[in-house]
Amino acid sequence: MAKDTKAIDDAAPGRGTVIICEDEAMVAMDLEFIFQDLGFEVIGTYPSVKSAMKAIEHGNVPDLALLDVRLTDGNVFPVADALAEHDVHMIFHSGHAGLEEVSKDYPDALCCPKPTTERKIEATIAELGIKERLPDPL
Amino acid sequence: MNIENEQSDGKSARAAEVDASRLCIVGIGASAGGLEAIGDMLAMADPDSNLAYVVIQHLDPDHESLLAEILSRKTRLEVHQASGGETVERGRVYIIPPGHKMTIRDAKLELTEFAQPRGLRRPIDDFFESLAEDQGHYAACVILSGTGADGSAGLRAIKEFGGVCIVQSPETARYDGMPKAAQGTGLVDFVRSPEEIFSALQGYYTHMIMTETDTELQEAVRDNIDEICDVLSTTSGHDFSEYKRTTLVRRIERRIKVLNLQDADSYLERVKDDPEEAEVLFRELLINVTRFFRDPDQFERLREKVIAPMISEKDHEPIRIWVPGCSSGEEAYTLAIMIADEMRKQKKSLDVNIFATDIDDQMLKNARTGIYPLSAMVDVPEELRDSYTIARDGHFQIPARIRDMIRFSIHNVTRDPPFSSCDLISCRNLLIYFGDKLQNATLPTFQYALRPKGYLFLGSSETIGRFDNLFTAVDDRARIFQRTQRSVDYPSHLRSQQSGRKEPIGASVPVSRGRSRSSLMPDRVADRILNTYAPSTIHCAKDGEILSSSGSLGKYLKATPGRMDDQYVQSLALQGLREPLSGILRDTLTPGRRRVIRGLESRGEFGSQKFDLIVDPLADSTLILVFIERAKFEPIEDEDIEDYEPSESHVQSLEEELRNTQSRLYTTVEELETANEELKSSNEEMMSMNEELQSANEELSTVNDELSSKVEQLTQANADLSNFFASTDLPLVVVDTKKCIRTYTEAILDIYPFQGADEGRPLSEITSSLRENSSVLDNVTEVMESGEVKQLQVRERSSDGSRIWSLLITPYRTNDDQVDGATLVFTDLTESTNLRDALDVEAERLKLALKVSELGVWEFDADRQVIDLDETARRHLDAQMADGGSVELSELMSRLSKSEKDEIQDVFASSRKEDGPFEFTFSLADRTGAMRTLQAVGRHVETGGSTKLLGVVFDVTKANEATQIRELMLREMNHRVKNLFSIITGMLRVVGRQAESVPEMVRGMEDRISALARSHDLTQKKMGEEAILLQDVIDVALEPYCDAADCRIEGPDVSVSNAELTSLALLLHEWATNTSKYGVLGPVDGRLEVTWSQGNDGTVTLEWNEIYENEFEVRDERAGFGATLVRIAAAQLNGSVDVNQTSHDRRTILEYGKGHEGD
Repeated sequence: MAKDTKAIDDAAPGRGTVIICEDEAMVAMDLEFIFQDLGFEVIGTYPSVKSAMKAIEHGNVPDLALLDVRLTDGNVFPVADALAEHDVHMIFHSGHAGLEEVSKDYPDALCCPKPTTERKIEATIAELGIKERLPDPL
Repeated sequence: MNIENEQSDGKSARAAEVDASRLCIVGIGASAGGLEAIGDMLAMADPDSNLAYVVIQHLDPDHESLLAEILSRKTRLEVHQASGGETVERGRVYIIPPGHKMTIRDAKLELTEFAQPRGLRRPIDDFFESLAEDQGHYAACVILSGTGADGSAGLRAIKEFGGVCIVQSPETARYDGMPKAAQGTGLVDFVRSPEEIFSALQGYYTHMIMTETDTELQEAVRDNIDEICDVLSTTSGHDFSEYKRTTLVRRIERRIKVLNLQDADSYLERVKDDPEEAEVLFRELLINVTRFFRDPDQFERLREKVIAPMISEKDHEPIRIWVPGCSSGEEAYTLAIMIADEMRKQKKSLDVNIFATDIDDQMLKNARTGIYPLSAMVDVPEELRDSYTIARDGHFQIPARIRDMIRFSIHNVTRDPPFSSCDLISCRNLLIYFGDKLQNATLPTFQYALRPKGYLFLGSSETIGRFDNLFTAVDDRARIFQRTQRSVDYPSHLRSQQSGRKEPIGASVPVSRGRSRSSLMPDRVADRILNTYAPSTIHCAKDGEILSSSGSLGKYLKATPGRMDDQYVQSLALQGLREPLSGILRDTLTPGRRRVIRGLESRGEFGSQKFDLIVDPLADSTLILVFIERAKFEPIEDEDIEDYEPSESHVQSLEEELRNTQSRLYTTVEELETANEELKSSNEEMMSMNEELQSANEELSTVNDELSSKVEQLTQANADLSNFFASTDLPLVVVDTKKCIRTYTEAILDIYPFQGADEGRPLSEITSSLRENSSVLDNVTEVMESGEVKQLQVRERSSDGSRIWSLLITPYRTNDDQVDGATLVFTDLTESTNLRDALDVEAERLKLALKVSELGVWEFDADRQVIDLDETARRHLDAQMADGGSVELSELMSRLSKSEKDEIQDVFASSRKEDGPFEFTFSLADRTGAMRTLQAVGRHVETGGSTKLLGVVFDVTKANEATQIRELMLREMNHRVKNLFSIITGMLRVVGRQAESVPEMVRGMEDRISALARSHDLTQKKMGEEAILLQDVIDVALEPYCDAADCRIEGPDVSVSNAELTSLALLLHEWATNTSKYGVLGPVDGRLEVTWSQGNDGTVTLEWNEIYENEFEVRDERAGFGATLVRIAAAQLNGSVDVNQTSHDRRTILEYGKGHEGD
């Protein structure tokens, strides 16, 4: 399995690391491909809060996280909280209504409603990138 | 009448300006036939005039009067039966109640019991007299139809006080007794038919009020009064000019009003031209009220202080009494009766001469007869009535022995010479009419007329004025005065009037009928001379009755002890005198021519006397016999026996016989008189009986009038009732105590087929259409016995039997509350019974509906703030009931949250103003603590004035839960669909990356979507039953590629959760596709074995083994997208995939599930 992942990692240029929290296998795979296409290194795909939290605890902290709200074992918010502590950029990706509310709790996070497109994700990342770049010129 | 009244009249005349609309009270007196007359009279009366009416009708005291009721239909005035104490108000009619005497004081009616027995009552007089005293000249009296003379005396009082009197014209009266008696007084102002009476009254009062305020008229009368008096003086011979002016003016004024003249001048003309009017005015001026025993207390004092001592003192001298101004004689008769009674008490017989004088010859004529209306009898004290009155038809008379005591004569006290030597002068209520001058002249006249120590008896308001030197008061209060001893002169004013006037009737007129025994010479000297020195003399009447004598007569007359009244000279004369006497007495003698008979000799028992007899006839046809002795008395010697003288004895025997005859005659006359007396007394009894009968008759005729009115009303009521019976559709039958039919309505014929002749037949004989016929009859009996109302339901016996009746049996009560039968009233209940049944069914349905739908009913009473709940509602609300299924609103509210409470209160409050239904939902914790959601629907109802909210309540907990679940499901579905879109999008992109051509991509998509769909089918098939098994998932994944026979698919039952299903399906699909593309299910020979097992920790290990038949080289193509998919799917399953490729086989192992640790 590591071999498989490596193959993708190799293909990706080093734009940053990303984790994906998604309980739907096909969607997770799709997202993985998209991020790889966008030049990110996918350092983990987690179907559950438990597995994601474990990874973060183990220091697997990415630059960016794409979070489906509902995971197999509950809402993704503990993960989001943990990531927020590490100032990780977050994009919520959910079919649930009320993403606006989510963005209230996490003002810095952005949203991509399901089903999303590659362009949308790209635009959202770009938006995050602008935010990120603001302090850079100084 | 008294002086005070006169003065106050003067005042009231001046004050009359403010009294222009003063209340005037009209007394109406009526008896038999009066009802009709009163009705006719009052029909014309105007309620707005200032008149009030008091009706005095003779009524049966034992019979309630309907008079007020009857009259109130005839007049616009308010009619009341008086109950005593009410103040008389204008525009009203007051009726005397039966059995009471009514009087008026200060315009207030007073009721008292009658003091007199029936038949002697005179309520009209009583009322009129009190009315006259109370209202003066504002009083009027009307006398209507009736028998007898009640009202005539009252009328006199009304007139005396200046009121007006109207009498129904006798020809219009059903009974003309009372009107005629009233007219007989000569004092009536108007005689009118009942219809005209009101306008006469109205006219009189209008005129009166007009002239009341017009002092000019009074002045004019004053100016003319002397002329009027002159006229009167010439026509009547009496001078009124010195009479009291106020009285004169007032009475003349009244005549002017009655005649409706404009001023005093025209009246003067009238009096001059019309002697009749002069006569009327003369009478009018003489009106005064007198009655028997007027002021009884004063008369009692008089009896005590004057009459009783006078009688006891007198022995033989006659009593002389003068009653000047006696009018109709009551006062004189009163004195006569008192004296007669006092003599009876003292057992004395004295001569009594009462001179009763007046200037009104009309009155004197009446007085002489001694006949008075029966109504006046009450004034005579009861103990005196039997002895001193004789009842006649409607009247009574004073008996002759009393009448004989009184001489009535015309005499003017102011002008004519007075009587003399009177013991008592009774002059009551005469001086008050005199002016000062006349009074001052009259009192000395009285003094002259009285003997020394004689008494003067005056009216209660009269005094002796300044003449206290002539009289001393014996009893000031009773107005009894005594003449002083002071010598008197003949009144000077009379001396000058002696000549040139009409022949006065004075003391020279025969004073006595001659029973007086006074001596011829009043002087003692004369007595002595007469008795001792003068010849013996006898003064005798024409018939020989000895009136007086002087000298010794023993020689001529014989003394006969015994009967004192047999004092006839011819009876007493001795032999020798008797014969010439008889001749003399028989002769007609010329007065003044004396005769002498000489040589007579009287022979007595003791001797004989020779004498001459002088006969001197006097002008009054009495005789004086003077005996002059001619020789000495010769005594008879014993032996001188008288010879028989046949001639003398013959005369003597004849005389003896005559005397015997006379004596027999006397006895016979006595007997006759006794018989006559008896007849008289029985006649009196008859008369009084007649009087009673008459009054009973009057009462009866009043009752009859009332009854006929009542009958009229009854006829009307009866007609109303029979119309009701004819028109009503209420089935009704009335039965009597024997249950015989009395009355019935047409509508009853449906039930009881009555026929014309059935009235009076027993109800039991009629065949009714009722099934319960006998029970109906039993119930009727019961009702009549118990007197209580009964209600029962009965059915018709008819074939369809559909009619149901409610039968109400009530006892038939007579006016005196006796049960006299029963009334049966039927009410058709058929319709209402059917309706009730239908309602019952409907109610049952509703109940069922409520029960099935678990609807609870509640009712909120806004006034009491209480909610009534039914069983279901109680269960829903889990309410603790206080009593009778109601619960306080506040108690329920306390269990609600604030917002719910507010909402409900708001709804309750606002619903009052609207009409539409409202609803609200609320939550309550039940006993177990579980929350229940309840919904209530209600609306605002107003019944019988109270406000109510009525509605239902039902449990919506489950419905709510279902809704929530549905919403949850929808959200889930939405999520899933979106997920699906994501999956498909992802799948598309993933497949797109992999596919080299569009058809390939399409195929890839098809396969995967189909696989997903198939696995989804699994979830649908297995829904709700049992868990999806791993085997099923595998079967579904392999289904497109192989027959199950070619594969070994083995393992225990492992259930697959929904979360696992998609990933598992994707994963298995990848494997199946791979196997069919590149493996044993496709180009490579071999077989597939799929096995699985589950560990204790739940970890599932699934092996996918491709077993090659031939050696097979390892392929790399298998990496790439498929591998990524599998890896990710495995990750989703919280599992891992391990591939073990050899040349013989390819083992792919998936471990997933709880116990498994992913990477």
